[in-house]
Amino acid sequence: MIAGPLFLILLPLIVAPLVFVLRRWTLLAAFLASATALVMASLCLGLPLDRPVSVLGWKVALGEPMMVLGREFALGLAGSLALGFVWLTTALAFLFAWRLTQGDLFFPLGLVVLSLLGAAVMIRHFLFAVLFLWIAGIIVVFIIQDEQRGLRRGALQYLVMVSLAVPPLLITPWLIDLQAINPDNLALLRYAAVLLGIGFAILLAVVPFHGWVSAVAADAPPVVAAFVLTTTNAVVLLLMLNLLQSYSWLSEDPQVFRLLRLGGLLMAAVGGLLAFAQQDFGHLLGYAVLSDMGCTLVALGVASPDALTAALLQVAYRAVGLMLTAMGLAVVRQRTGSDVFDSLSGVARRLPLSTAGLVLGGLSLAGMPLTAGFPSRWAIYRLLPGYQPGLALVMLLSGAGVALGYLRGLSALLDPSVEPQVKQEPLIASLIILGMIVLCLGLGLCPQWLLPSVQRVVESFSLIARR
Amino acid sequence: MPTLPQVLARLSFLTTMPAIVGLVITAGLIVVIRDWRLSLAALLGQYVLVGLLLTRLIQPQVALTKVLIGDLVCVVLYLTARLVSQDEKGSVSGQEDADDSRSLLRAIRKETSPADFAFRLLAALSVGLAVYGLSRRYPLPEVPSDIGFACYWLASLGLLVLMLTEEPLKAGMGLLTLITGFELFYSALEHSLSVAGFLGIANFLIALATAYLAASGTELTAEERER
Repeated sequence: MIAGPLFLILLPLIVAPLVFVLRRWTLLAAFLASATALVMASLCLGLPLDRPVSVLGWKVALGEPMMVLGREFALGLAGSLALGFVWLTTALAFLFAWRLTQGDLFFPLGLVVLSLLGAAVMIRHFLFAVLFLWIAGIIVVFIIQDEQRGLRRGALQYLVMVSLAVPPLLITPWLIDLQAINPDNLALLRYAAVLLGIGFAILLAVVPFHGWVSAVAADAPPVVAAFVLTTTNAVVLLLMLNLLQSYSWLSEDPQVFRLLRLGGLLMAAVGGLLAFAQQDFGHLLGYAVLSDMGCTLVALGVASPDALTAALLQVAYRAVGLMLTAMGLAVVRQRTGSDVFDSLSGVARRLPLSTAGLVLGGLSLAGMPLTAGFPSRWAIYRLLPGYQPGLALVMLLSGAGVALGYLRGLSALLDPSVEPQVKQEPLIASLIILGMIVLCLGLGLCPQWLLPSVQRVVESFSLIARR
Repeated sequence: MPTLPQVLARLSFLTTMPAIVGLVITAGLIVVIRDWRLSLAALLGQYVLVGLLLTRLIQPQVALTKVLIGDLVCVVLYLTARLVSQDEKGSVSGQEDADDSRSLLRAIRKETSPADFAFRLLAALSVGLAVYGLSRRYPLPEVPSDIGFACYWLASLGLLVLMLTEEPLKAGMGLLTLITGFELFYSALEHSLSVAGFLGIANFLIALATAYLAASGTELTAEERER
């Protein structure tokens, strides 16, 4: 019998070298990488955690813990859903990258990164989770920079920020262990909380540590940027929730949740404001994500079951909007060589589906009605007035800033005065974008599709949700 | 042939104040000097000196492994820096006299203007003062005070390098200096070999990532030249 964690970590690591060898044959590499990602997603989402099941002749027990060098790896409900979601998003990204290259290293290293993120989710010891996350973050640098000549700011900033976040997070377990030996010394817990705050603030791009988000969004190939911002953000949030669930001194401290709300508020305010002022779609994407992540943090800061449900739904729905706008942007950049508003005049007439995807995805990130991003935003808006009225207004204005940013871009794309010399959209990429548009609108109209799964996860975070 | 403990016993005089002074100089050089050769030599020296200090905190074999990883990191950075520098020379002036460019002193003078040098020196000195105050006021737990000062010094100067440059190689050296300072402290807190292994892997991957970013810039220059 194979323990689930072993399977989830090793399979992508075994496939990755093969995909690396095949990377020049994009069809084969994309097919193999997408198929692996789909298998992983279906394992995480489809297999029961409480009993072994036969997979390709092997008996796999997904929920079975395993020990490696004295450390326990185990997959819980929240972890399996988070990993399933991350693998599913990645499968889509790999499929899109088949027709519109996002760099040679995206397929093999994407698999390695997800294997490491899986290990970070499944390992029981926080210290090692941080180390896995760090190594995954360093490998991400190669994907961000891949095939880019001279654009190094995003990759370098990401490398620096991920590395800066690690030391405070690594010291925390030592402080917590020390406090367990000296239960009267509560100052140790205070230091631990401060260090955790700094580490997570950097990883979650809380203002003033937010610069890397827009830099990555502007410099990386668009789908790679969406992959990085979706997968790492989901795993970091899960690690944070696990910590809050594990340590009652953290989840019972109102200051922690106040800081979450404050951090989220700053992110939403800065993201919305700067999104409105952007002149290119790359940076706009970064600030739109920042604004949306701010909303998620505010909802987590409210810490009620409804707010936690809304926050987790938003993480999932953000992936749809983010991937859609990134796919549209990838086509626009590939066909025009630019994403600056001024140089995209009239492009919408030649690239209608990509334009629709680019703008609709952006509006979804802004939480506009009828898009995937709306239901969770709406739920958060409705929760906030009873809690802190000003917060809801800031969230609303932040969404409006992002939406206006995208509408400014759209007006440039629709400019009738110029006839652009741009090739038609690639067929398969357009079909994927069309599918994503349908999904984005469908989730906007039927948001309850994911609700039962998310509610089960919320139940597992009883310490946070019961506040 | 002397064994490792014998070698370390002979070098024990270096594991106190001389090593700290050495680290002050090497990290200071990484901040102040822009020439990659001198900076890289300083980084190499830094790894050796930190290894010597680590023998006071952890098993000598583990300390030696960390020095070896540091050496590997420097080899990766050296090869990349050489490639980048050759390419830059080619793109600036292909006819430049090779002997002239090999002169280290000339290269240092060429790359570091007096104003830049003075600014960096002043910044390093200011940070040094802050580090001295910090290490006195908030001494690090589990490490002797001199090592605590070295940890603060390396981490702060690494951060200063990151603030002063956008060039990948130099920023990479800054990041590695910062992490070296942290590792010096963290080795006293966490003795697990697997953690030491993970940190070693992370260091090496950072060097590779830095090299990759620096080399990407080189390819741009080559492409531009062709055009």
